Amino acid sequence: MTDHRSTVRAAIARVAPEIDPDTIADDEQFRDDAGLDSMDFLNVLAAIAERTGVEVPESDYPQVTTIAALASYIDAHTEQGADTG
Amino acid sequence: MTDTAASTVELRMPALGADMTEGRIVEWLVEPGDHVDRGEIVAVVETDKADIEIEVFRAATIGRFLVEPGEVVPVGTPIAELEATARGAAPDEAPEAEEAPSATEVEPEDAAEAPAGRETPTPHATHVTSPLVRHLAEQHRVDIAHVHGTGPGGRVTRSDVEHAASTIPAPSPAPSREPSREPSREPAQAPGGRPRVTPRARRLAEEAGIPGERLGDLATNGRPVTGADVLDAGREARGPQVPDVDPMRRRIAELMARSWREIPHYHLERRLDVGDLLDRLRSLNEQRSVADRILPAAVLLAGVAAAAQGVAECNGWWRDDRFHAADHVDIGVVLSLRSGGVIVPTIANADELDVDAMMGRLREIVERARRGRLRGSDLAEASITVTNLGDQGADAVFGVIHPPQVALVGLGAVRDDVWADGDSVRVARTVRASLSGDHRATDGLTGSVFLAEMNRALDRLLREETP
Repeated sequence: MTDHRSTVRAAIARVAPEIDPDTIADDEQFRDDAGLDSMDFLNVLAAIAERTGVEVPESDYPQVTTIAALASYIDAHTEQGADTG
Repeated sequence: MTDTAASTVELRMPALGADMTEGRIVEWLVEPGDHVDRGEIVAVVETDKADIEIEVFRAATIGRFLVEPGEVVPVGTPIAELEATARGAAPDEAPEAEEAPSATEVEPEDAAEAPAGRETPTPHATHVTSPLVRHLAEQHRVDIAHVHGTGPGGRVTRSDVEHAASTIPAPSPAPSREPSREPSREPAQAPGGRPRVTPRARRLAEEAGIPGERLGDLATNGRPVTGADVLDAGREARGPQVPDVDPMRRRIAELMARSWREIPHYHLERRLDVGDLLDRLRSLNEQRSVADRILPAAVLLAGVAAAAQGVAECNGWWRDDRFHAADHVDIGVVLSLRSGGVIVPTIANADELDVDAMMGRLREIVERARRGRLRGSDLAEASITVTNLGDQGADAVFGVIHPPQVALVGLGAVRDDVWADGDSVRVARTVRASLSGDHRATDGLTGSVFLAEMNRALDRLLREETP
């Protein structure tokens, strides 16, 4: 099974090329610690939707504020699906 | 059109913004003989604001380059010859990329100014870098032309530079840097026994006035002399404590100092209750996939555009001791860069965009700014500027007007705040909107009307889209 933390890091690298995603810890807050603004965050989610098919509704944004949390969210929403990377 | 005879036209250094006088070709993204279509990007030009991608505005075949990468030339200088073909050509001329009807204006010497014997840098995607990455490379004394890019399209990223910095030895003893192995890709000495000098080093040395024969002195351990060695030598000559001034920082400093010197500012603030608006936005976004969602920032921009259209006294420029109203609302959007500084691309004709189109434009300019590559068309002169520091968490911002404009709108973060309605008190979601006005052009009353108009416009937005 794919480790979706790398999926998330790849999405960040694509959206914000000036940030090295390896410098963001799994439990750092995107917003305050990593410096992603709302446009960057939206684009990260768009890249993830494209890659994994997982669409995070706005109401779930508070659950996905770190790389680890977003990766778990993707895991949880692809478990029954065919996508295993 | 049946014109099949190719005619030679010139591509000239465009004026990317009213105050640009010269630009440096960073790289050509095409090669002579390539066919390009209208709107295709052919070159990257470095200005004091940013690296800008230059588009061609007619189908053509690339002829000769008249300006080599690295050269700085005044605006209007022919930089390349294009063989214009009728195929797919659109008759409208570009404001950004002027093309003269014939090449006869070009003096042959212009093209011959390139230093003789210089090796032509390869116009290749591996050289595409952001200003940030180039700064980092210079800090780390890495010659970016030799860095393997792992980013999209072979782009050299920040981590590529850091990786290269840790594997390429520093040119002079640097205590902080670990000693590492010699690069083995090239012989350090030319057959004549003289130290090898990279093309970039030769160019930088020419710019710095270092005689060619002295370049050999910069060689250490038989390594080829690189651009980083020359930059280091220049720094040492200037003294150790003089940091290079970032051109973007200098540009911001000049503009803001001029504004504060010339413009008598007044500042107004109005709290906006945006709860209902954000509810409408949320129900709209609920039905949409991530890629089609709209951010509050785009909705607020639409409100500013409507206010600027309604209160024309705030939308234009102060020139020659009087106000000139703009025909359209062209909003300059202040984007903070994580590398420091700001860049202010323009959303043209913002008064004609619906919220979806506004979001699309915002997404484009942010994406290009992040890559360090705005287009020439992103730098049209703005008639009013918006700074949205709310995204960085500030409650309110009272900005400095960008001359010659006469107004700047500042938007703070969306916050829950206590709101009194008559006798009752409730908690509302609020945004603190500010207007910085040029007191020569308008008075506080006009500014108040602007903020009231913005409030009304926001109240009207997204009503048709949602039940």
